[in-house]
Amino acid sequence: MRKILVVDDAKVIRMVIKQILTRHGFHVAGEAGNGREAFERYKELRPDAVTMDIIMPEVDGIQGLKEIMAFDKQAKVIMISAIDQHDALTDAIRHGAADYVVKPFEDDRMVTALKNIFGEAQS
Amino acid sequence: MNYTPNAITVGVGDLKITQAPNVLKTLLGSCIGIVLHDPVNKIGGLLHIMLPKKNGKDLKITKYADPGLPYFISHMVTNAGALRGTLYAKIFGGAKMFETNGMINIGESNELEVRRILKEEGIKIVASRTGGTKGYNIAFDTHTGDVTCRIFGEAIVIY
Amino acid sequence: MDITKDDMKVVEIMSRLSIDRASRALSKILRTGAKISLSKVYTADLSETTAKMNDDLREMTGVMVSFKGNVSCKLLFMMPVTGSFILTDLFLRQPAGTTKEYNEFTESVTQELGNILASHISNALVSDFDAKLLPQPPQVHNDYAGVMFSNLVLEQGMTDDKLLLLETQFEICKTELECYLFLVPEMTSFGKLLDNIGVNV
Repeated sequence: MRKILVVDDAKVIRMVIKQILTRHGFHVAGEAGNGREAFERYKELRPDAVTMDIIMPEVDGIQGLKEIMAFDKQAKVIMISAIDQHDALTDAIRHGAADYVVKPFEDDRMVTALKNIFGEAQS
Repeated sequence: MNYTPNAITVGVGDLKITQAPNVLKTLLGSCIGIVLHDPVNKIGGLLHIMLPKKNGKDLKITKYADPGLPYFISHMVTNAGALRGTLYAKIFGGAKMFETNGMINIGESNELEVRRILKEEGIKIVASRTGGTKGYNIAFDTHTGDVTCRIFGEAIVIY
Repeated sequence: MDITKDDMKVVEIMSRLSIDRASRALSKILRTGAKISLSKVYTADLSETTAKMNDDLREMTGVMVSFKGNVSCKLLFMMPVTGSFILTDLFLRQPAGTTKEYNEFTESVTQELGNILASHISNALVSDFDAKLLPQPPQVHNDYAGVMFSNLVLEQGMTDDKLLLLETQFEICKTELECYLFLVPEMTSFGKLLDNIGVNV
């Protein structure tokens, strides 16, 4: 079962994402509330993928992404944010994000994004 | 709190001076409310300041402890006819509610400046309730000098 | 800064477009019809407006969001504390009446709704009006309505005695929920946005 780290400052969003992922056969190995915590949890859990919010207190998701990618070039990080802006998107892609999902999203969109990065998407 | 017909609401950065039986009321977050009372003539005022010091721009002076508070004192005496020697003060507010960019301790700075000025002016603070993280609802009775204070989520206390 | 009638019209158009975007996002996340519409854009005296609001002693849950970028603005979304129970049930797809008290879920739902509204408003201003604008992490607070409002306008009040205020009407399908969404743009910021689209102020 694929291990996922869910990062968002809103507890309910972590809960909703966890429910969706569990329903689709993923294992949520851990949660974090900002970019710094995300990096710490990443080193500790070594998940197969990360879902990462952008606007978070103290250390944002872009910084969290940078730190994770610097630590592990193979890391698979999907950004999940309500920010739908060109600059944020290009920033995320430039720093190695595997995909970018805009909130609010349909459950399928996030699940497909994860399956895609694992090469499991069905045609 | 009951609204009396003679209740006067004071907005942010404003000053109101009145006499008994009127009641002056306001809500305070990080701002400080200063009441001054002349118990002999039953004259009272409420100043609602939002910042410690005026920053040189051409804005309303009653938004600032300095020079709003010295202006308040002189206005009480010169215009409203209060006796300087009878005046006492009560101060409320200065909560830290939201983290505001670069102004984290604004409530505290406001309070320090208000205390400094009142000391310099020789006006005694006979009661105060400041700090915390919640808003203050205060009503100042210019007849008795009592301030009814209710902090959000707490019981009413009279100062 | 003085804002003319013509400028105000442009500000209204900008506001409508961005609020429409936020409204659609809110409907999607709550999976119900949510309609936010601009009720008025106006300039007001700081002391007079806050004095009026100071009479509002309702106990509210609110979320405040500051925006950073080349324009600056603040948003307050607030509702009576019991209203946040309704939104929590809608958000979590629970039967109405499930949430009976304010708890970590109601707080978190309020926080996320603030984030969604602020993000989609900024998305519209960035894509349609060439602004650079990102919301900061939302802060949730419970307090008197009047205190929340004063906090919203505090920063603007530090640089000006007048405020530019955007007020909205809020309807959420099949609920009696009363919500309030206020936006306070820094006056000079709106000047920059008008410049961006070639309207001189």
